[in-house]
Amino acid sequence: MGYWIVQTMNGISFGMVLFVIAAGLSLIFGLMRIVNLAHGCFYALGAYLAIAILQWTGSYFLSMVAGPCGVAILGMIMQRFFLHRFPKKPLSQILLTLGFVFILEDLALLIWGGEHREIPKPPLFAGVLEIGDMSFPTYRLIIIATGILLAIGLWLFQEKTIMGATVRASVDDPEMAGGLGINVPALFTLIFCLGSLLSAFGGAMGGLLTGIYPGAEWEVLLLAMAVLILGGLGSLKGAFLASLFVGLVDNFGRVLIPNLALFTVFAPVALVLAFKQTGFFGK
Amino acid sequence: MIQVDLLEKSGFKKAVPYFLIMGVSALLILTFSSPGSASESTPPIKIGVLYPLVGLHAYLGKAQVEGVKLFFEKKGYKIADRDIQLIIEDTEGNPDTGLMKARKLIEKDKVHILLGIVVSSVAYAVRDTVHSNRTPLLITMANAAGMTRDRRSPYIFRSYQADGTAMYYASQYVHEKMGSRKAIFSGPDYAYGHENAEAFRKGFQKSGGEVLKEIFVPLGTKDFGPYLTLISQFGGKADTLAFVYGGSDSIKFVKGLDEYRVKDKFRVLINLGATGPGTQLKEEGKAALGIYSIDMVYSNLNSPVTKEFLALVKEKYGYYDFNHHWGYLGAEVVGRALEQIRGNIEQKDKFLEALRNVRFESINGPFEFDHQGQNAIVNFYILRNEMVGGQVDQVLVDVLPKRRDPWWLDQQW
Amino acid sequence: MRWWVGKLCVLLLFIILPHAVGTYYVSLAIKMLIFAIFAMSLNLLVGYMDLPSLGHAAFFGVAAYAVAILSKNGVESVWLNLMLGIGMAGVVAAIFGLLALRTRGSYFFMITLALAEVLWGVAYRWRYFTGGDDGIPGIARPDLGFIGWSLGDATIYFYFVFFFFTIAYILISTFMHSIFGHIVVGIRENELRMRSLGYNTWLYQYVLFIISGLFAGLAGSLSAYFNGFVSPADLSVRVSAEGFLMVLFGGAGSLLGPAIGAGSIVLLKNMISAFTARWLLILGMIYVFVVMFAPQGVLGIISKLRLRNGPKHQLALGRQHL
Repeated sequence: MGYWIVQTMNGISFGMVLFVIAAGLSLIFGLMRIVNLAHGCFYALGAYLAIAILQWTGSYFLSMVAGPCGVAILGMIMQRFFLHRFPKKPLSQILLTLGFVFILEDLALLIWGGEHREIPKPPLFAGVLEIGDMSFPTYRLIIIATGILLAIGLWLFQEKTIMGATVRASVDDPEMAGGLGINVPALFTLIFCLGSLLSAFGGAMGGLLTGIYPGAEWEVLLLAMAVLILGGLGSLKGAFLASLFVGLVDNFGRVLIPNLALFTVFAPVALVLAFKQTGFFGK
Repeated sequence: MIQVDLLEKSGFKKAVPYFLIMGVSALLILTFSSPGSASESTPPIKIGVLYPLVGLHAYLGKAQVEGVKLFFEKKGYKIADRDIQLIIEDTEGNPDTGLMKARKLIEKDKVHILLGIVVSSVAYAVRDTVHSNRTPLLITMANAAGMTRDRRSPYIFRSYQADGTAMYYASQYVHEKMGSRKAIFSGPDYAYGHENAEAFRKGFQKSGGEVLKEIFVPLGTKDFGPYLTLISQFGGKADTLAFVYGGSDSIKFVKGLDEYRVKDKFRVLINLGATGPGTQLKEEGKAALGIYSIDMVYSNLNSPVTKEFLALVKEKYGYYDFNHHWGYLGAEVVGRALEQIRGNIEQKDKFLEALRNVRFESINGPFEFDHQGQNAIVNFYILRNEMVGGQVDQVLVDVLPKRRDPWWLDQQW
Repeated sequence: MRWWVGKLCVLLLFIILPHAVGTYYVSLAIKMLIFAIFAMSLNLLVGYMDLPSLGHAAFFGVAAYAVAILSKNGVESVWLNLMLGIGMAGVVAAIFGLLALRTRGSYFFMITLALAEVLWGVAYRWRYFTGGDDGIPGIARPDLGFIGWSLGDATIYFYFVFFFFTIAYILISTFMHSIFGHIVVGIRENELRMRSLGYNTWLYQYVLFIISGLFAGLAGSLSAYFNGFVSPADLSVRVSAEGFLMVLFGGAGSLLGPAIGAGSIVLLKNMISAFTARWLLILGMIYVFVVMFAPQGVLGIISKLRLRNGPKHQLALGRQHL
């Protein structure tokens, strides 16, 4: 019994990390329809910066906050000076962001080397929870809690604040919103920054869970895209549910049917794309 | 009629300053990166060095290149009064690229010797080209078992294990000396994991043990949590956990062993390649404590050659990783063979003969080649991770002297 | 008139090439040609149909594996292997097309990626059949049979590949200039109108999708013989992404653009990486530069500089749908 509980919690904790990244992508791709292949690189940078800041200052708080902020600035530069020129041109966006991926990947290799790096667990959460005869690491519980809190926070922002309404209006009808005096370009840059920040924060969290290494940026991007497809673009609730789904399905799929490991995630994705493009939970 | 889109007219003028910036930065990058060491007037001995320098194997390639350079620097880039020129190429860890670079080194640069290769598929990819061009190749890490077995060639040597060797001997050791009777094996779900699982199983069964389950972690697994939980389940039934992992997987797995308290559930944990000195032990920290490993490298080997080497690495590069060994060792093997023939690399048959007969006390212990298959015959060390002077380090438990690829012992393999 | 002369010069250049440079450069040229075919096939989707595919390597790789498995199991004839390889690619394209063509724009992008990933996973796991991550090495290049020339010779193989490149180019060019091609472009510009005119738009797209797969299969088969091995890398996202880059870099709005893009990128990669380990960084910067200042690709730059007379075949990139 303990075994199944622990496996479920494994899936949920992984799903929560996915949710943070997917939420970021949902803002950028789901809401603004910008293809940003460098989204995974922001994740990676979030993790690398977290390690660097931790080494520098010893403060976990700073590493989880300042790092993502730094990446948000990078996101701003990318959007403001490069991406904004190609508002409805996915091909150009793909080529542009792919170029950035190469640049960022190589810079990361140059600065941090290609070895796998771990973010050391905060001593406060380094223990385990005993469930039956199985052990479950405590820090994963914190990750689950963080994910849920963030989900609630984002939902409140989107549904209950004026800012959230402004964002939704601007995306639905930018001309109208501009006519009402909303600075739409600045708003879009802000949303892009927020999306990048979320991805980087996901990186800091993910760094605790799985460490950071070359190639992580692509793994994460593919999974985040899968989550968005299953959950429906632009739907926060969809992203949350789909993240849990992917986390659990991937988890159990890998353990129960290891032969079909890649299928468990990509088969549903292909089917959804072919038959119900708005996703399982989308509108 | 088909319309032709109007092309941006002003875009190009705007491009000029950006173009200048890019051009200048490209020039700067080119100026400050070195393609290899320069040579002098007499025709130098050209050694092509093939390693992955980008991608997930980059950290292996980088350290091994450093090891190679360290050896030749020690020799002043000269052997028997002849200059040595290293031409380093990036395989990207990709067989297509690896083959293209090998062709470049052999056909365009006309290298006399090829050295390196980490990724098995790259090794298999270049095999035919190396063989048909009669270029001696010394593989310093790729496990690709076939290269010194069914796909061997008189021109191909390897200064590392053929896949499965270490785990074969490890399985027999844990049975005979540590009382293991029932084991679980875990590894990545591709050739490396499967070949080592097979070798462990063969050796263990031969000794009388039983492998209860083999748990392979599929490709692209980010989160090892589920597998560690799965392995924990067998804690009551098996007394031993044997595993092989490299790179990122190894650190995730070992940390997970600690996080999920798997170490408490097995009496013996033994691995190949997952708790190596350097980056791995550093990142794993206390999680690696108490775990045994089998390896061809022992960084604390009580030999003046090893100690000198370690000091040199730390002095020159400021850090140390077990991958430095493999580059240095390969370079030394080639260097000694060249010395033997007084640098006359043009006499290829003599060089091959010299290479085959290389025999010396290397930084890893005694070294020689198995004349069948041309794989290295070296010591295998049984090590245990313990706290030494406040840090996690490897401690020597036992030595398995001069072991050869078991495939040649028992060709029912 | 003038550009015919230009093309003839280029043709002559290719014919004397293997006799003018060393075998390594001939190999490099072969690789450039193989990817030129691949890029041209991808352009049928990207440029002519506005369908950004990130799974094109699936067809390339399947053909390569088919050739590998067949030739290692006794099928000696290179012609038969090529045909069967191309055929396999076509079959896979037929299956993928059924699923993928239900989507457009970014969804299409993602579903092609997902399908290709699944195929790659199969190649990686099905070790018994595909050799797993070690791949299938040792594919020999046979003799051409009736002529007795050995394809094992780099020069002969170069002409062999060049022959197929020319055929591919002529076929694609003819096809896209026929009524079929005009209809397809019409569908890209305004699908609704084409449908209201009575055309079965889906069928045209499906047929072109399969044709695109067939040519990618040609490239893949030639690649298997060129390398002498296949591995899951031939099916990877990396190859698909590179193909994509080649199309956009050279210019998606024309027939030769992608071919030029392919040649340029293969050349650039090999040249830059010989000088510095930072070649990825430089390549990335080049891509960013091209997107920012040469949205029509390299061919666009050349046209702008009026080095080529207005090519008759230049087709617009069209609106880039999401």
